[in-house]
Amino acid sequence: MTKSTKTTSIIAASYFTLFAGMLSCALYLVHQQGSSLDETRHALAEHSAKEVAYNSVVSITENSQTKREELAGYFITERDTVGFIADIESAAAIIGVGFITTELSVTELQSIDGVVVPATLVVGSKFTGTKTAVNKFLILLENLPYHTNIPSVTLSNQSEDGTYTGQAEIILTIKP
Amino acid sequence: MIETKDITKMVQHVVRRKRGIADPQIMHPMREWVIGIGVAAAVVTAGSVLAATLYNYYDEKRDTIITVSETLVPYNAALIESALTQYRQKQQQYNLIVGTSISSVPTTESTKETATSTETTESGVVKDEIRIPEIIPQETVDAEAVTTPDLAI
Repeated sequence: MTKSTKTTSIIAASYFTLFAGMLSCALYLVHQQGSSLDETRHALAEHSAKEVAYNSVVSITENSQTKREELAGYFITERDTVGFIADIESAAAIIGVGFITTELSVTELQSIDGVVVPATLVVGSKFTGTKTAVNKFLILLENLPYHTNIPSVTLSNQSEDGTYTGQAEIILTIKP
Repeated sequence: MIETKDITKMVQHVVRRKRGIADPQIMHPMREWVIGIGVAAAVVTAGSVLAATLYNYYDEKRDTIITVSETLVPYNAALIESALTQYRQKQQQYNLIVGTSISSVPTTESTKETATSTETTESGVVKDEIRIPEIIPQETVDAEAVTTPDLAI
């Protein structure tokens, strides 16, 4: 192998290496730009989806404003508890039922197995009146304009004077 | 008898034969030209295929619509409306009971207490009707017979 052949071979190998390297570099850059394009398109798609969700929430919030306010009115707050007792006592008096509050307690908001259980106001009561009045009072309890649960009601008839005595436990959900 | 001289001759003969006959024509222009054209054509073809593949790959991506599932806030309008309707009825009935009790003058025990409230919407359609069930007068109830008060509504 002559010196000239060796030089030519070295130059050829250098050119080959150089151009192979440039080709690899170009392919790498194309691949990188492609990945960047993918990421950008995904980011754009996520952004668009979040924008749609945001607009949806804003729309729901604006459109349901009055309904939410109205619905919130059917839940008592902790500061309204005294007012609620006063209201029910006056309503009972209007109907003609003697109403006594025997228990008043608040259970705190708690989370059971990941489910949030709201705070509640437990009102134990005792009421006395004629059958008509007691009947009416029970209907009144059923129609308390609050989110309530009445787990137990007991009634007994006082045969001597014809009056009825009852006990009821009212559980009201307290708005946080 | 073979002597060392003979062996040397034989070896020299073999070695000379291995070298073969030197090719007097070093350059083959046609062969080199064809090889060069062939390699260039192969490189151009491979490059074109690669470029076309890459172009198609990214061109198809342009038309692909990426769908991202974003969880929308659930809002059950029908449920809210249903709850509101229910509570409005409760409120109405509550007011009715309390209002009736205030306005009602104590009458004879035989009077059947029935209250009905009808609300008409703007379109003239009857929206709601609240009825307090008939209550049996106290006098008609036999206290002895009643062990469990029947307060069924």
